Amino acid sequence: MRAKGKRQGEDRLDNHTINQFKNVPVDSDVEVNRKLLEELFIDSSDVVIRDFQIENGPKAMVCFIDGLTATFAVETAMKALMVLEGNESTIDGILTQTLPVAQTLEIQHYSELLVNMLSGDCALFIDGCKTAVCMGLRFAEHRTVSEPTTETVVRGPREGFTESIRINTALIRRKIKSPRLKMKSFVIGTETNTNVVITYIVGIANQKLVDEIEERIRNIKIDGILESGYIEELIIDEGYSPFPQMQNTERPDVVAASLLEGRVSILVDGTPFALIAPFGFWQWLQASEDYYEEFLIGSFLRMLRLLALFIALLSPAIYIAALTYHPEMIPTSLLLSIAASREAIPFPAVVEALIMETSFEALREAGIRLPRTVGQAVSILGALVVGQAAVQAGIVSAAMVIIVSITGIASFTLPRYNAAIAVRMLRFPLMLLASVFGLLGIVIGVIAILSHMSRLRSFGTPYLAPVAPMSLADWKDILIRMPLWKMRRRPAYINPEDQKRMSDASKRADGGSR
Amino acid sequence: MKMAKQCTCALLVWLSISMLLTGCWDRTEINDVAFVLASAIDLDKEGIRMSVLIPLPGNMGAGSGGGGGTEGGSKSFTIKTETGTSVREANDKLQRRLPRRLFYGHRRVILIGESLAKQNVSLMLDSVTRMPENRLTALVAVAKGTALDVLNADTRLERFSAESIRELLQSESSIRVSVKDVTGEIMAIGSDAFIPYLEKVKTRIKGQESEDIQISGFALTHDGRMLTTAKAGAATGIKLLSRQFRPYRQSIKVGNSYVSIVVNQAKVQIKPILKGTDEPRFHIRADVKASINEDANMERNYDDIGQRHDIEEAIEQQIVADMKQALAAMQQNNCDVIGFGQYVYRAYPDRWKDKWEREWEQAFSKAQFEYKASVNLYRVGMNNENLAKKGE
Repeated sequence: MRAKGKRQGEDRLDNHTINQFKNVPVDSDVEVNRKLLEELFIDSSDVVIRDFQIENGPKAMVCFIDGLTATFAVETAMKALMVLEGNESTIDGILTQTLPVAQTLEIQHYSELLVNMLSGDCALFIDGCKTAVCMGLRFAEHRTVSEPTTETVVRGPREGFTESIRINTALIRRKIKSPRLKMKSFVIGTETNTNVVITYIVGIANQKLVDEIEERIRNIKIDGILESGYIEELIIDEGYSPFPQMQNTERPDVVAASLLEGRVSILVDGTPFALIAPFGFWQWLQASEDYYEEFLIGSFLRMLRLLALFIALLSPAIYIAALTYHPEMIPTSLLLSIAASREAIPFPAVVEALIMETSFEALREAGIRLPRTVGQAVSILGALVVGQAAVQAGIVSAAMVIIVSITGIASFTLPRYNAAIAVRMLRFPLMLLASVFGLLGIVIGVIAILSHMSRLRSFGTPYLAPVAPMSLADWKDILIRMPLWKMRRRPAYINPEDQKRMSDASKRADGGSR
Repeated sequence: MKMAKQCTCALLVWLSISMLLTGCWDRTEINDVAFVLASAIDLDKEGIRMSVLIPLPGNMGAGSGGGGGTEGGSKSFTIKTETGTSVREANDKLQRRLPRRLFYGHRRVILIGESLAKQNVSLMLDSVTRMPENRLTALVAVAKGTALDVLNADTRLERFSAESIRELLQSESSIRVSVKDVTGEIMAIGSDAFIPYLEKVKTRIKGQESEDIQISGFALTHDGRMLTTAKAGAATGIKLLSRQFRPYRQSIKVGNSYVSIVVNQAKVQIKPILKGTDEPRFHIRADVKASINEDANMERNYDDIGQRHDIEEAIEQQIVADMKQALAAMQQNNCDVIGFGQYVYRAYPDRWKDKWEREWEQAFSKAQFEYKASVNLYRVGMNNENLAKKGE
């Protein structure tokens, strides 16, 4: 607080945000510019400011951030100016004839100049010019493209997004080589000035959807965007819902497939996770591999995932309800063995279930958060303590351990990690409802979840679409993945501008030969 | 808007608190429940004796995995018994000395003592059908002697005698008869109920003494009272006529030696014929498929169509004899357990309503029956003749 007060008192230049330089023009005198920059970047050791003389011409100056700009390229550019041949010292002449740089941009105001410079461009000031030249010489260290760790596939491309937005856009562009693929760029965050790109295919994606997303992103007023999660949370329709309303993915092929369906994707610099909207319940069950393997395999896996979803959500609740209210529902011999294993357990079924489910969640969390080297210890502790010792000590029954394991495994089958967590969270209120009202409580809970889901919208698209509201033609790609030659149209519930996906010429693959 | 939000919040808080106030209604952990797997009801000096079989989860050796060898020492179930003027009263008295609540949701077998069955079956069913906890699919059987004695049989093969009784009643040697079936049969005019009849048999081998439960036939009832039993041939006849056919085995004398046959399939058609005011007549036609299980005649040649016909004829005679025997038992005691009256009703609904519905009580025992059986010996086994035959 003290420091802040002091600075405000002095009204230092480097206390200003970039927006405050909106109307500050680039001066024609290099010295004025130099003074301004030096004052602005006081105590910034990574800023390089260098004066030099253009041969037979005016004084010039380059300014760039060391580490974000390719220094050798700056040197090449300077060399070309310093040993200028001919007499082209006007800025137009230099730009068109002398400067060996592919990307150049003339800039008049400091705000724009600073954003570009801080992103890695090199600024060139020439005495007597009222504009500065931004040379696109960005070169930052980045991670190489590697296999995404959160979404692995058996069959399918192994490349994943990186933290560099340039590489990410290139990865998408490499999949969709079309001028119709658009990448609209924004700078969000008053301090971080993060690059955000909206990408979509014009003519396929609904323009209203693109406009809406653009509008929402423009309205974000925040100091910094560090991950796409910030954007997601700030632009979704219903902030209080436990369910994800945007898909996030590390895979360029998933983004490309979504764009081809008419969805819109948002890339954020500094994170390998791209956002996709609109997103609905049925996409919880879809993995990219469903489309790469044969359609029967894909359909089978989807049904398996739906079953697993219900198991993950309901099995502990049903266990509690059946054991405390409806023992007549359990087959006699099963009931007797459960009764035998529960004979010495001191807790009621609810408490037993809560203990086990909580410790499972804790174990899972510990497994993610711990350093890799300790991870093994956690799994041993988990298997021994939670699994065996708890049963042998008579604290929980063997049946409960089975229920917890089934729930855990089932929840891991969902390809969307955040959806799986939402399901695992909702398990707890359902367990409490089951312990108070039995099966009736489970029904109440499920109805509450369903009614919330049916009210939810992701960028105007109903969350449960195409089941509710029903659009039968789109059922070809929810629970059953129909063969590709049957999916001739894009999902209508997203309202793509061009419905047709397969031209009639490819009819041969359909009815004709099959 | 803000007001509405506050109201919703207040409502939610109020609802969640009220949820805690309810307690947990009828929550009962399975540790507080005694599961009744089977019950036996007998006639007693004081009225009714009610016995229940309860498994002891602590003695079942499952779960804790500590020793596992508990079977030898203590039994895995216990039987409790109590008397009272009614089934309910006996049950309530029994409950007074049990720490766990008696729970009938898993009762699969109801045994009725013979003396009680002879007095009244329907009276006892009332206590079963009134409570939603009871299963109407529970199997019913009449026990020779006292039902408690049969329930207490020490059958080694299953953990509980209830389990062996249930398996037995569902097996090929019986016909499934549940509470629902019995009530339905008793209720309808023109039909009576039959109930499997059990007895306890003892094995007396030194060191291997055990008791088994055996299905020896069917108890035939009329107006909810057991009147007689149909055993052996008559029981087979009832199985055939009841149209709930299950394959059965029989040894038949053909010529001088016995042939063991399996009746694999039997289609029995019962056709009522009413002519004028005559007593009703029934045409019973059985189409049977049978196969050979064992043949004591070494000289039999199955390639000879004549010899096969002989066997088929013998089986036909046997089937007709069995059905006749069953009907004789039924008609003597006026127990229409097959529901011949219902057959008449379905074929001649108007005339049944006009006349026979009222007169069936007297008419059944005078009804005439014609039998016809045709047997197809369609399989003689893996070999045509005894493999150990000398020569050739």
